[in-house]
Amino acid sequence: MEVEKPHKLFKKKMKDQDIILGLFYADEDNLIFDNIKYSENFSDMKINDIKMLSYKFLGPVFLTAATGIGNNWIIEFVEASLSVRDTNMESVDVLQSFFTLNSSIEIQEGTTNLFALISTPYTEDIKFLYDEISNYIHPSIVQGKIVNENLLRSRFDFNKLINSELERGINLIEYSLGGSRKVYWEEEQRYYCVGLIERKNAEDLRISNLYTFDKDDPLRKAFLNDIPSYYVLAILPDYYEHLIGETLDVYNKMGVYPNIRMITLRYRDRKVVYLEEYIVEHKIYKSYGAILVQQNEKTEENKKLSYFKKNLRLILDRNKALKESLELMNPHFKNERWGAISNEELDKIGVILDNPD
Amino acid sequence: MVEVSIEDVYKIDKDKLLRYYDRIQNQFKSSGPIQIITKFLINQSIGSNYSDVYDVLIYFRDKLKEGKKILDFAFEWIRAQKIRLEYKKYLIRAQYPFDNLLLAVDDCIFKFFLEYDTFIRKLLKKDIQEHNFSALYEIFFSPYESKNLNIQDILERHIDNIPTQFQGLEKINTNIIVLRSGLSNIIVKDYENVLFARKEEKSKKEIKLKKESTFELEQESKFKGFLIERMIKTHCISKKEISDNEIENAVSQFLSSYFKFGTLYKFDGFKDLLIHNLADDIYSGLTEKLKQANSLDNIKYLVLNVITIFSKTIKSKMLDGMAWKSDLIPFLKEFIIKFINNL
Repeated sequence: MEVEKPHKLFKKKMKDQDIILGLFYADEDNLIFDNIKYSENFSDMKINDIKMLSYKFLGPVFLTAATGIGNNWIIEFVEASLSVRDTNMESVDVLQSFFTLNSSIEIQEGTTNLFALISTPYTEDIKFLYDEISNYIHPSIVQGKIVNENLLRSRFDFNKLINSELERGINLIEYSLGGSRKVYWEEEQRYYCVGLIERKNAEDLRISNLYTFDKDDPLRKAFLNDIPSYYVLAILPDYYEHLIGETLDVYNKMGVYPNIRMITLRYRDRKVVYLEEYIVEHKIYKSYGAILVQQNEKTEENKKLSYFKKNLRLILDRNKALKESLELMNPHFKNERWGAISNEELDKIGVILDNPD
Repeated sequence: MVEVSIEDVYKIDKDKLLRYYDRIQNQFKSSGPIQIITKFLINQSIGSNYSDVYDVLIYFRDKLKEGKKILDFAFEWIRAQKIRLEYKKYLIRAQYPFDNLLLAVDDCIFKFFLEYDTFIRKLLKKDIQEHNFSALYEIFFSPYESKNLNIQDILERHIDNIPTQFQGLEKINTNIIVLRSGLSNIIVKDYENVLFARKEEKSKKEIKLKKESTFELEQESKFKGFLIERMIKTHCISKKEISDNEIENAVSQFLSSYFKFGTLYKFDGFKDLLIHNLADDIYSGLTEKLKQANSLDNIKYLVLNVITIFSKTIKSKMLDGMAWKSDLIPFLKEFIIKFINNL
């Protein structure tokens, strides 16, 4: 346990227009409540767009549950790197961090989610913020409801409680922003690669391909329980990257563009990490991402995140052919490409690759 | 990363405390264990008074987990005050936007007490009512100068705020609400005290600054010719001849006491002051006998004449202090030489 110095002594208070900060709460019936910071100068239309963000960001969080396939995986963390779009621009948006954190608590009536959308001009201590959200802010809401229901009975007003708690929560998060990022023990964990996603995006180009085990390989079936589904994983990077781009536009942050860096999903003691690296070539955003399963009794050769990161970079920098890199990621992978853009392609992934039989 | 426990972060020297406890025990052999521990805690500046501490120990005695002793409870009370010290150090430096008191509560609970809650629950029985924890936090983390730590009063305040809820046989976790109930008032009061102290400090600084600027103004509001006064006094008493250089130095000091380099002065702004101050300094340097022959008004009149002559030579009515000084020196020097010679 480490208590830091008060952050605000060392940096000036960030203005609302300098940061993107939102806190969304979805109750056990998926009713969404939010508290979002935005500039007072925004038009009503912009504010409406901002208000829609909670639904868009929480959508995939519900998706894994709504598909009814497999277990209720939680999308815990999504991080994008931000790059300057055009160095000739007069003013460049100084945003440096962009990530979302989601805490889920199962109660008797169902699952509640507390989702934070954070983008700031600083590198952030993500673990600290996640602890704040999952160990304090979210439990405060759940416990506050239980206690107040008991004390106030019919006079209990949930709207009042949730608005007050979200306000307290967002103030606490804002106060904690600007902490330097630390290396935590989680980053030393080992993983096993179960898939590779190749994405290419340009003005008139959108390609997404999945590489994994052969459909008849027993390993494919063996690891199905360790991931939400290939279908969901094939959708997520593209979905979030576009949504983050849209969010930056809504907040008038046109000077930077996002690239997915990491997505973390969790179901009880199981964890999946999607790790992506990118490059821009001839105005084409090209990226490769590894779907990684946390080391368990089924996984053979487990490697640290840095190993996968290095190999993804090697593919992008053309120092290694894709086929060769696929073998380094997992020697059981086939060179077969599974398209992951159109509904037909995605349905095919769902029917064939996610089939446990 | 190795998780560090509360015991490691907020260390108490149990061996030393035990030795002290043994000494108390030996001194009061006829007293019961609770009485001895009460004495031990009071001597460690814990709790408000003997009877309050005694009652707290009696109340929590049968709520301790199996294997835990009331002395363990006493040690934790001491540790809690150590935590309070660290938390206060943090709070003194904290700058919550708009002095948001709720933010102070949430920030401090998360940083200092959330993990403590897990730790301290290992001391007490699992099935005890939640308001006991909330009351315990109020007792453990109240400032040592607290006057009233009556357990019954405290319990009464908490019993209706914190219901103990069960799901089947398991108690529902409401630890954050319990922490808020037990600590909110303490944190708010502590932070209000910090704000009050800051305000006091600020107003003290403002008064000091005001005094300093007034002092500076006073310094500049007068020509002080102590060299002129001393020089004339020396001449009057010892009849010692004063060199022209000495007179120039004295005039220079007189003018420097008022004019500052880089500051602009209007002639009309200092003319009268210069006449009065120079006349005063010359007059006070005279012996009583000479004062009768040279009245203050007469000296003032003489100085006025010199300044009037000077005013006819100046081209600009507003000049830098150094410029006024160098322009005035020859006129005043000549006047003083003549004045001394005529004494």
